Amino acid sequence: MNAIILLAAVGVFSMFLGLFRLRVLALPMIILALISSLFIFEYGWHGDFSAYLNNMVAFDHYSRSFSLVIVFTSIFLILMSRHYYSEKIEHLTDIYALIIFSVTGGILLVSFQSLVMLFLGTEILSIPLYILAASNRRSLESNEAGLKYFLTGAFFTAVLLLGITFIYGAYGSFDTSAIIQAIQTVGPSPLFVLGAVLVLCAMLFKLSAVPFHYWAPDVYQGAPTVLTAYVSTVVKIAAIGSLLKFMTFLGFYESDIWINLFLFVSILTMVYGNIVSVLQTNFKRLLAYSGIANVGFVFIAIIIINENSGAYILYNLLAYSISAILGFSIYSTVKKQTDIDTIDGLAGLITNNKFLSAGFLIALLSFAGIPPLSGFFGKYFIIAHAVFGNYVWLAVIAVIFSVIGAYNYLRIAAAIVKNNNDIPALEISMSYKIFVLISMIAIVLIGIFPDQVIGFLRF
Amino acid sequence: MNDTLVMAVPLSHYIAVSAILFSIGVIGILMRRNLIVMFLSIELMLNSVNLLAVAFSVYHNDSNAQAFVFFIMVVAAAEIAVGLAMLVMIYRNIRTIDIDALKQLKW
Repeated sequence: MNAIILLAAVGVFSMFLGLFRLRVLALPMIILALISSLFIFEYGWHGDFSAYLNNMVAFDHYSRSFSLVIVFTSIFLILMSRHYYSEKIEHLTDIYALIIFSVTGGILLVSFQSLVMLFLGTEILSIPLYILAASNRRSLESNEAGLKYFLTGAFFTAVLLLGITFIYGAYGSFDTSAIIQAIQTVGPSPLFVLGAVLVLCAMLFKLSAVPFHYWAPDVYQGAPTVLTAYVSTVVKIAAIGSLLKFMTFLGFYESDIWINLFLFVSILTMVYGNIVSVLQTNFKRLLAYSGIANVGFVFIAIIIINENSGAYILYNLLAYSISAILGFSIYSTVKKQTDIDTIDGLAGLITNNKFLSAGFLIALLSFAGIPPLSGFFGKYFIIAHAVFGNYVWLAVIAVIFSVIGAYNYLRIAAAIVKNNNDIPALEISMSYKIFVLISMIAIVLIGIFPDQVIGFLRF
Repeated sequence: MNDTLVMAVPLSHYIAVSAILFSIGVIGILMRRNLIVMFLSIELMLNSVNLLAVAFSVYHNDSNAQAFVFFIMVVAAAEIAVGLAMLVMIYRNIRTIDIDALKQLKW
């Protein structure tokens, strides 16, 4: 709980800093708060709030692993937004504050014990996102992205609420442990199944899994790139954290239905995401579809649920997130100075911009799953998990579609290394170079020491 | 609270009314193109859930869901505040609140 209080307070304080024109202080303060919450989660300094919380949230090992990844990724994200927005923008501190509030919601979401907290966490996570998606006020694309995200998000909020109320109606409690007990003693109730399906629909929407993916490409393309990076990384980690928790709780109820449901969604998501991404020309839209495909891939570890799935999912998402943040960041730097947003436009980036291209290539190769980089082990662990779980056919499908996905990333990489002199040398500041360097090192290090990272994330 | 008054109506009636209200909200979002009407539909969906939660709460003789209703109301207010701000912003840019005017993003 200390981490949540700290982050929320820092968010409010950051807005005040903007009011008093002390903008420079906001970034160091937020980074410091995020790093100290990493320590809070690692050493379990949560404080004793049990008298107030009434068992609604639990900061156990599960919540620790997910929160660590969420906070770690958001440090990179805040650093990225520092370079995305120019220093002079008026409401920079408000943007930091919104991101921090949303991270707080993500932490609440992965530590829920009561369905009320599931709902509140989802909302605290999403409401800042609607504002951020529309935060580029003059741009019609950003307006449209924000509105689309808002309307679909509010619609699925109502669906989530209906589901939670049905589950409550079936057993008369919001507390997950009480509901599990009721399922075991009273037996299954059709109202519960209906409610669980509605809640799963809302969660699949947040993850942009296939039947509910329509918002993703539009929001990714129209929204400011920081928000795109945020939605494709931190939000997905938080949503999958809550989904995994919800699934372990559904596991007490006739598991076959849910496994078949997830098999269907997973295969559909992989097929759709990878095949449609081949047709894309806009970089952000392509990453939206490949993000959809990655969610389908991660679902494999949810289908074969055991004590390893959580760590493998987290490793995959951590690897994906850092590469995505680096990729989006470099793309936005290129876009800001040259106004390129297609893949063909990136042709010949390497001729005059060696350093940026190196970062871009590392991110893309990590996405594609080229061995020493982290993306390879992210895919490897999940495929190995499927094989050991006796789902060899699913592993084969996953491999085939990751090859199709790799084609997309290599297509961009091939464009970058073309011999072409169209893009002039871009100006990049020293601090931005350091950010790119740190991200590159992180991608390589996570890939070189996969066992240590997995051991650290296991719960 | 006078529970007997609430329980004079069977639970299935409450579920039916909530389901009808929720469906009206869903249809409103899918069919109407005016932003304000769409926001109204979202509110209608959330309030149908409120009604259902209160009915279940009385029938289970447990007050948790009545507290939950207040959470829903607060979140709905926050959400609509964001939505209306977005509406004003869009109106300033394109001088209409018909969402068919927003067609920048397509594949």
